[in-house]
Amino acid sequence: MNRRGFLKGAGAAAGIAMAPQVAVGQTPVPVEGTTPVKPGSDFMVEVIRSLGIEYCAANPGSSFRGIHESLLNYAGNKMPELLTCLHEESSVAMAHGYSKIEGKPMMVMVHGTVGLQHASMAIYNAWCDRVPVYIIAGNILDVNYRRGNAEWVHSVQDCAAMVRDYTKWDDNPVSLSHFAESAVRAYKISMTPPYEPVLIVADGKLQEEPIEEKNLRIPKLVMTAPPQGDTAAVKEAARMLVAAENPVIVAGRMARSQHGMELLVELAEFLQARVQDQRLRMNFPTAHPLYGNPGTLPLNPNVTDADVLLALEAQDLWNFTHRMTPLNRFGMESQSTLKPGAKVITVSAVDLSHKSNYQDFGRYIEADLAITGDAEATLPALIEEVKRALTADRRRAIQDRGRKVVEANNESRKRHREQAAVGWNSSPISTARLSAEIWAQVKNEDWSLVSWDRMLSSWPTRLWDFSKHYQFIGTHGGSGIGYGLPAAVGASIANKKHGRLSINIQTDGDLCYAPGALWTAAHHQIPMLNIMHNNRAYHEERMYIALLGAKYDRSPETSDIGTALKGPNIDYASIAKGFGLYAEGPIENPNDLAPAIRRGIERVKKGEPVLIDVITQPR
Amino acid sequence: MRRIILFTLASALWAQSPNAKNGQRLFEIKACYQCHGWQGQGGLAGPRLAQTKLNLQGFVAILRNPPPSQMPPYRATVLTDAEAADLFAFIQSIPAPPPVDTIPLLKN
Ligand code: HEC
Repeated sequence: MNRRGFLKGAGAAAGIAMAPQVAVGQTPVPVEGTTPVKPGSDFMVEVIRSLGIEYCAANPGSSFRGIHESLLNYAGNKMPELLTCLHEESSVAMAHGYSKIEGKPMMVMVHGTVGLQHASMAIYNAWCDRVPVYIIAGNILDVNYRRGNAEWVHSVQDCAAMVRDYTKWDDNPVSLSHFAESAVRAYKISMTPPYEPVLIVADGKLQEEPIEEKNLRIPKLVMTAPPQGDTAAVKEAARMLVAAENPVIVAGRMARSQHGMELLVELAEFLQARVQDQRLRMNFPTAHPLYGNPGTLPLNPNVTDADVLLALEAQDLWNFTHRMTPLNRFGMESQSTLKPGAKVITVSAVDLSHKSNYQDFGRYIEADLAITGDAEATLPALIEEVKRALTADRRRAIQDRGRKVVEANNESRKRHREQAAVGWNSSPISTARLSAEIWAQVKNEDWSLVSWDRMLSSWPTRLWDFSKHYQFIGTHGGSGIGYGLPAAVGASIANKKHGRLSINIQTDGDLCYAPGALWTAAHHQIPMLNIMHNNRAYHEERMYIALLGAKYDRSPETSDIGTALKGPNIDYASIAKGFGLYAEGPIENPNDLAPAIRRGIERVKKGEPVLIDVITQPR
Repeated sequence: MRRIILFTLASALWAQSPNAKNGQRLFEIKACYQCHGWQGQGGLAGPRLAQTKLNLQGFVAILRNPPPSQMPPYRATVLTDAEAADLFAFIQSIPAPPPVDTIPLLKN
């Protein structure tokens, strides 16, 4: 059916009232010969190409069909290359994971309404995790251009409103030159620490009508030098750190790059200070003797022994410097756990970009010295000032302190190994055994763990030797589940061109949100080894229910209702096969792990994604 | 007579192992594993219980009135003395792990 016929048919069948200028019974006549020589979307794509974006993740949507078509037929599906996604939440999470490895944004296209609604949780995660994502939302602002119901329900007056609370900047350009300026500005804003998601609306009419504007040009992208802490404040911080008896460094979202890690090592070594890594970024080599005990909750490190606490882009600092009434008791009291007189220094760029509605900023910190600035950018000056402040006396004292930190570190490593041995041969397989088995197979490869490891009681952090920035991608930021699998796919895409072996230890509950990301991995031949941590429940939530049951003197025993993923058990190998992956499992005998992982790695090395289902202990 | 004695002995032994088995079941359904690990190996939120040095009395005392921490108090209404004894039996039945040095993957 041609377009005219389609309109006639649709109008007649639905009895649609025609526009007032058209007499009833008459069919609106489409303007003939409108095929543009060059649609606006070609220019938009040209602008996007100027930003050096490698990939565009999208689930197709009619409101951005113009850009989609231009990406393919004008730009040849290169820079950016389209990644076919099966859910907008996965598109954004893929961009999130990609950025963790590559340090720059992936583009994501979404419908201005339903697509953005789907994407919004993942955008919130990226916001909380201070990660750049470059979002283009399609929309049709001009009522005259909305062809039928689908385009009315997919149109919105203020598209970005829905996610404005957790994007750094957005715009709704009304001309192509406006688009060019805002698109370049958005990239720059997104990539100025704190990195955060941005959104530009691509109007349908601008995309699909011919380019009429004269003298169109693309503004030059000038990246901002990251904000560095005030010189006098940095000097004071150095003085406090050098004078301290036991300074402790907490690293949150600190290292943006390998260089950031190296700077932190340098600072820690000069001070011989313990580093408590919250594992939100790859901040500090886990085998370094100054690495703080990872056997405790990394997000809430024990810093009660510090007399000066240096918090570098730390998350929820208040929470781990205070004790609160636990959930199992009534009421709420809190008190500081810091030593009396202990001083707190904070360095963070997040202070530069706060919003009000969502509460991810955490509790107000009564710091003794608060430095606004990106920690990685501030470290070189801090290191210089520390070097300057170090007298011979202080150097001696510092060496003694260092020896104690190293001893404590050795002791905790020994304890971890002993703990890992408990239940070594048991089934369900212990998370320590699973982690050790994977490590044995990957340690001689150029590997990258593209998942968080807190759900495995941080066993990889405790047993593996993480030394490179790309070897760990931290976490989701906003605890929005459904992030894990697509973020792993995105990170693996980034690792692919470097030839790295990507390993995703995948929790079962997370995979069930949007398993379609497996298909994206198969379709685009993304090499990655997915190993299921299949513990058949949302155990964290189960714990809360059990806890409350005990607290109210009722029953902790009902806690699996609404939390367990049993009856029927979910067969992840079959799911993965259905999406076109090579898959094995479920594996219940720990002795079967090593050969299965080896077989998996062989295939991954040939360039395909693989999934191995493993039945594991809960934590 | 001899037979009867043997039988009594056997049933006493038999009666002990179901306790530990029931204790294992309780360790799951009362959600102790959440913080202490599936086999009491200790987790991010709770200490190791395997190879505990506590006796039954000390164990029950902690269940009823734990030190202020994430550990909830379990009163007799939600965990009877008999159940506590089963839990203790389970914890005691957790085999000592092999020495770390005998596990190649855990050698440094
Ligand atoms: C929400 C987490 C949590 C749950 C659930 C929990 N515990 Fe605990 N448990 C802890 C913590 C934390 C401690 C350490 C308390 C302290 O000394 O500060 C502890 C301590 C103990 C101790 C003392 C260990 C020692 O050697 O001092 C025992 C015994 C114990 N728990 C048994 C249990 C049993 C049995 C259950 C289930 C009925 C259970 N716990 C459930 C968190 C938990």
